[in-house]
Amino acid sequence: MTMAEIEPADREFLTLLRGVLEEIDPVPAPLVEAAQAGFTWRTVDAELAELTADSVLDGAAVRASDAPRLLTFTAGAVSLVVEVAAPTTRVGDVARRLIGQIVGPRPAEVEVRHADGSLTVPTDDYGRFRAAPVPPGPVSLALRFAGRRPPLVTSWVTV
Amino acid sequence: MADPSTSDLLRDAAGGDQRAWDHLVERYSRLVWAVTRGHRLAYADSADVFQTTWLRLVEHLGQLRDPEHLAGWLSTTARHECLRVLRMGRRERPDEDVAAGADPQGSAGPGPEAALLVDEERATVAAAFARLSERCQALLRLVVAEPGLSYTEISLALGVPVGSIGPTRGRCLRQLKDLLGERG
Repeated sequence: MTMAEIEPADREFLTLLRGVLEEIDPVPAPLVEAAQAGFTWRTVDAELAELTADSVLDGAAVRASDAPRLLTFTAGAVSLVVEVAAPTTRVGDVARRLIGQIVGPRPAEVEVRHADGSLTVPTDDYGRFRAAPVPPGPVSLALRFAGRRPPLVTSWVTV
Repeated sequence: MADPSTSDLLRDAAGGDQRAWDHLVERYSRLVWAVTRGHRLAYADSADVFQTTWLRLVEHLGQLRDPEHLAGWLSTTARHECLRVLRMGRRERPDEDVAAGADPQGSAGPGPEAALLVDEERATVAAAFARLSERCQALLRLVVAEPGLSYTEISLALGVPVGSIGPTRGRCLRQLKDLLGERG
């Protein structure tokens, strides 16, 4: 629906309403700037691993509040399972701890990219890793493997 | 210089052009914000969802070349992130009343209330909007957000049947006008 498809009488009113909403609830300028700055996270040579499962969406509507959240990312035959834990049961502003396992090529170097920067940890020989502290907010993991295999980056997700 | 088309911006951003990306963010920010503000999220969670949505687009630029799909893609992505965050139970939403002029950022310059006082009609509309149900507020935010969304896109962004959008929009607009009428 575009404004042009709306009856003229409503159109004028909706235009007024749009102006009012832009005034009382503007998009915060720092958020727009941060979104623009996020372009620097663009990767050109990496393979994208999509988020294919998230226990908070796929599980039962009512979960135990202390159940860890499990995220699964998949790219072809490679998958990555990440458990997101918070040190307290109230999942507020506290830093997260990520515990993950790569199912596929390993070992790898794991870069956890987040709103404030990034941190890099190695996996063990079984593809397992831990990363903490990770601030709450958008997160994406970049995996780099030994040899010629191209790196893999996960879709961004809010933790 | 004419405004570049969304199609050109998508192509140039996918090719690494930061300025094209900046343009895209400016053009569609209002829409993404409208989706996040239409859910019961605390301000900080809205901010995270907004950021995640744009970062997700950064990674998907190569796959999304059709400008016709961008508004729908952004609003659907933002809605799914809203649902994740709601299910995580990260924060209780404080009793913030946007229309009453809550300004969580403490931004510089005259506050929203001061700005509204300049124009009594707009202040009246803002007050009436705040009295609408959350459902009506969420829908009307999307109805007026630019670039405009189709009914199908609005239904995806709100998670309601597409057939209900038209009737709900009519009812919400009537309610808003009734509230304005009460003030005489």
